[in-house]
Amino acid sequence: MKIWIVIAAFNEEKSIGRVIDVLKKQGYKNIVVTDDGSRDKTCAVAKAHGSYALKHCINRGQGAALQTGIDFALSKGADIVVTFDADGQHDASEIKDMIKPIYSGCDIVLGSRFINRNTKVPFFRKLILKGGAFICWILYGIKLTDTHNGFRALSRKAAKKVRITADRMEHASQIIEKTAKYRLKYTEVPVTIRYSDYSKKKGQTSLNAIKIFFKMLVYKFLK
Amino acid sequence: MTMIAELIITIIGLLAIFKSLIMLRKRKITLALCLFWIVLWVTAVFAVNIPEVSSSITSFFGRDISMVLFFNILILYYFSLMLYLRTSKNQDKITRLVREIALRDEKKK
Repeated sequence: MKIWIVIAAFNEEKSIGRVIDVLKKQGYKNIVVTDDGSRDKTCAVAKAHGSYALKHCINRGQGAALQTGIDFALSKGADIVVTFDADGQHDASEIKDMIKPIYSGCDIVLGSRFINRNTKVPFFRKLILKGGAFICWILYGIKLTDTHNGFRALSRKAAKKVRITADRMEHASQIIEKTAKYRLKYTEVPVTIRYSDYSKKKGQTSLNAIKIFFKMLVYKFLK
Repeated sequence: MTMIAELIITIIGLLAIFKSLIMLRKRKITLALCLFWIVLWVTAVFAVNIPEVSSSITSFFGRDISMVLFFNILILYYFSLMLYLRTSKNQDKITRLVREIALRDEKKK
């Protein structure tokens, strides 16, 4: 099975090379980085480290960048698409655990930082993430422990069905919404998230949660 | 209402009507929307200049003028929502375009 790793990156020249190297060391050769309109050398660094690099000429958001990468991976015949963060938060050695359920018929595998007790999630972030999971349960009827985790694995069927049209961070909720809509088989797998100062700086501000919630309502009721 | 306020609303109303006619001519808005704007502004201009018009509007609604204001706010909300949806549709188009360029550039290599 062809496994493709899709990474959305925005101004990640400092970390993207290392992330690609680690992935390659783990044996993943099919890597595509979507540079989402970075002002730095993200695209060049990604290419130099041997991955495919797509360049968004302007910033369109993580959801849009992931979909571009997924389209590319599908066009290259990907059987499994893994979405992975560019800031080094995810552990490449856990990809094998993420894709295992797909071999046994699962359509979408969602990483969860809350099943694994190794991840120490800052209190406020935990509150926001748990709130997000609760809202997803209410809106889409899917009960998960962690809904906004960028570490996911999708079968080819799921990658084709779950088209991300939510450009920004609300794409994570949209994936859950479409999982429910198309009745895709899903499961959660424990993953480790490494919170470094760099990843915290690059990650979501908790205030964005309000914006995401508003957009979730728009996508649910107006689109 | 003071004379100045009446004058300002009248000028704005006339400009809005003029502008909507120009936009119709350039086919930037539909005839229905143009007519809607014209009726809205003609009513507003008459309402501020002829007190009988506003009182007939009030009697039409059977309540005080706050009812008219309430409906105006509703209309404004409706237009804000339409604008929001239109903007987000345009955003979708931009994303699709940016994606197409990115994928096409990669194919060229």
